[in-house]
Amino acid sequence: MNSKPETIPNVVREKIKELEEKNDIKLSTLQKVFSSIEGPVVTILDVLYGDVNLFILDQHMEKADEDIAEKLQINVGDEVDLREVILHKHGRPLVYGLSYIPKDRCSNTVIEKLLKEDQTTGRIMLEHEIETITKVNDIYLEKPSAKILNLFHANEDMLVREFILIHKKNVVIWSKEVYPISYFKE
Amino acid sequence: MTQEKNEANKALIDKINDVEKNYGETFSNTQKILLTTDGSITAILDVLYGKITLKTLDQHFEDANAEQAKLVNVRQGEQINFREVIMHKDGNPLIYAISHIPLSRCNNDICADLIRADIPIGRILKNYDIESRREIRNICIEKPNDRLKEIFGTDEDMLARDYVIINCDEILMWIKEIFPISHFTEI
Repeated sequence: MNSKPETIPNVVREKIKELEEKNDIKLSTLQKVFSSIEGPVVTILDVLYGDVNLFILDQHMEKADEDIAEKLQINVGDEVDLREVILHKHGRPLVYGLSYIPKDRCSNTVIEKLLKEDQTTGRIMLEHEIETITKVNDIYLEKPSAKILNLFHANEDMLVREFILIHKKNVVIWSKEVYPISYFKE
Repeated sequence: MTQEKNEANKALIDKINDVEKNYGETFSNTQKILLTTDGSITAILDVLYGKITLKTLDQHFEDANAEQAKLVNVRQGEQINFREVIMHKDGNPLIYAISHIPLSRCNNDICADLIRADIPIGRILKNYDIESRREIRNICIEKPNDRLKEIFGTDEDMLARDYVIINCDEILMWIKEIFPISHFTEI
């Protein structure tokens, strides 16, 4: 264990404040909660909406390019599992998620489960009792890409959160969650 | 494209649904989140209210009795740190919490932070980069004891949950959090 560090500031609170001031908006309670929770948003969605469903839009292994390698702190060319999903309730899209998982940092069992395409990463983490640290890297607004526009049918700004999960001092998941800014206002 | 019903959090949904059903009332979204989150409550309150403050009501080391030993999976008589705190905003009590932490599972730095300062446990874990997971044990409604009545200034029912934080496959701490049922209904 390291020697005593200084108490860290609340990064999420500061980022939300910045985002609100910069864009002259106020995030709702739920939007703030979704930004601040440790771990995937699906846990909260499950509790609030009854269990939500998962569509896997894409899932495959690929070689990490520079951007992904930097996100995961791995070498360019290392194998990475890409998962692109949409969480929905009765067909209504709630949150789009993109994640990168470095193959070499997962056990074979976890990789097998990921590739089965039938379980959320959250559930896999839960089942395998994986101990982690969550670090929220960024919270921001972005314009929807064509894909996101097609998924949500909403031509408006998207609220985005990027976070990583750390296990055994290594990044094991980089994840991005996206939803329209008009969602979760109630 | 594959579709699958996500049942990862089924047990948690069942727990909160059971409490709502037995009590005959629906809880607010924020209440549900605070009762079921597998992350730090301090982090959520911090974002919702601005920086919240911790007031330590009691903090001492004691020998674990049978009940405490069971909660943190140690032998009876082993030393534990007992903490009783209030999370508040500008003097308004938000959440009352007690925790038991086996001394044998803390290093000196964590012990020092527990003893010397009003630092929330979630922040201590973050400050020392402790990898962990949380298991929620119970979610329930309780009648307040005299201490809770005095702290919150009400005799209404309390929402409570208890959970363990696990590090290196061992229980690092057991925590119980309690707040009046009228709290967090508007935010």
